[in-house]
Amino acid sequence: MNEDTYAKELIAVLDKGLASLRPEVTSKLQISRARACALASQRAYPQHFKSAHSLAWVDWVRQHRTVLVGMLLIMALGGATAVWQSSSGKDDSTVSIDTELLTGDLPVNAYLDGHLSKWVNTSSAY
Amino acid sequence: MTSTDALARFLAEVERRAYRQAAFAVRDDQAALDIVQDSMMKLAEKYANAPAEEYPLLFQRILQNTIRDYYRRQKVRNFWITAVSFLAPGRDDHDDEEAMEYVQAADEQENPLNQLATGKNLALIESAIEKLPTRQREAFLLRYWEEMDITETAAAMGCSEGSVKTHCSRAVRALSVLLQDMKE
Repeated sequence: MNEDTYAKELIAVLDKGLASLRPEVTSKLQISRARACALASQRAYPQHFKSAHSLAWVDWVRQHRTVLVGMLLIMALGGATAVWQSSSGKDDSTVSIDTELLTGDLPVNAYLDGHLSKWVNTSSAY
Repeated sequence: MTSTDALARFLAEVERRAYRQAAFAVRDDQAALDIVQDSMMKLAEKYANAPAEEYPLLFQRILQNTIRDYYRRQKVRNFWITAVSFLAPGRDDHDDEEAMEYVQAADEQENPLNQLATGKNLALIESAIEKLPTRQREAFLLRYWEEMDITETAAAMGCSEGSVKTHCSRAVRALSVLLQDMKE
């Protein structure tokens, strides 16, 4: 007998056997299928939602590209200015102390023992 | 028709055959049900939006891989069980005798000659399919039961078309011989 014909005869018997699966097996298969379909529908909804949302976001960014770039530049400039101002403020306080030390224009307390370092520290704190 | 409906229809069509395929491979009904459920969930999770005509091939690949994963887990589990039972105290010959009795009883139940006496052709064929080597069984079931062509079967099995033809041919011959032996 031809191999294909013989195989098909065997398969026909197997197919008939599928109808006689135990009820608990068929019910478990149905439950598994229902779970899989529920998972598929859960996966389908957020994907559409997310894709629509991301498309709208991309459109908005394209339309307002110039404004966004300008805002970013302004923020960068503001940040740089703030950093520069804070660093220059520190330099000023040090310079004033140095000037006082060099000119000898110190308060009386600074000439007492152990008070010079204290005066320098308290002055730099201002 | 939405992708979920198409998936539901496909799964309803294929679930029983998938269960029998898994049962042939692992010879454990409960494990077969778990394998089919895992395969369905994986298909739904990753390929629910794939075109419906791709479902059969995707599902078969997932099913075959899940069966292989089961084999691997069983291998590791058996290794540890053997190791633990070897180290555990209280092993005696009585346990072995009980195990032998159990195996003999199971053999008698599954003996094709006994089934032949009750006229269960289906059980005979199922038993013969279970005895096939794994790759031959896979090729036979995919090619003839799932009605895949040679190319699809090769893709599902991850081998060449020539191998599929060889496996199918050998499987049919082996089944013929096995069934002949059982009937005699």
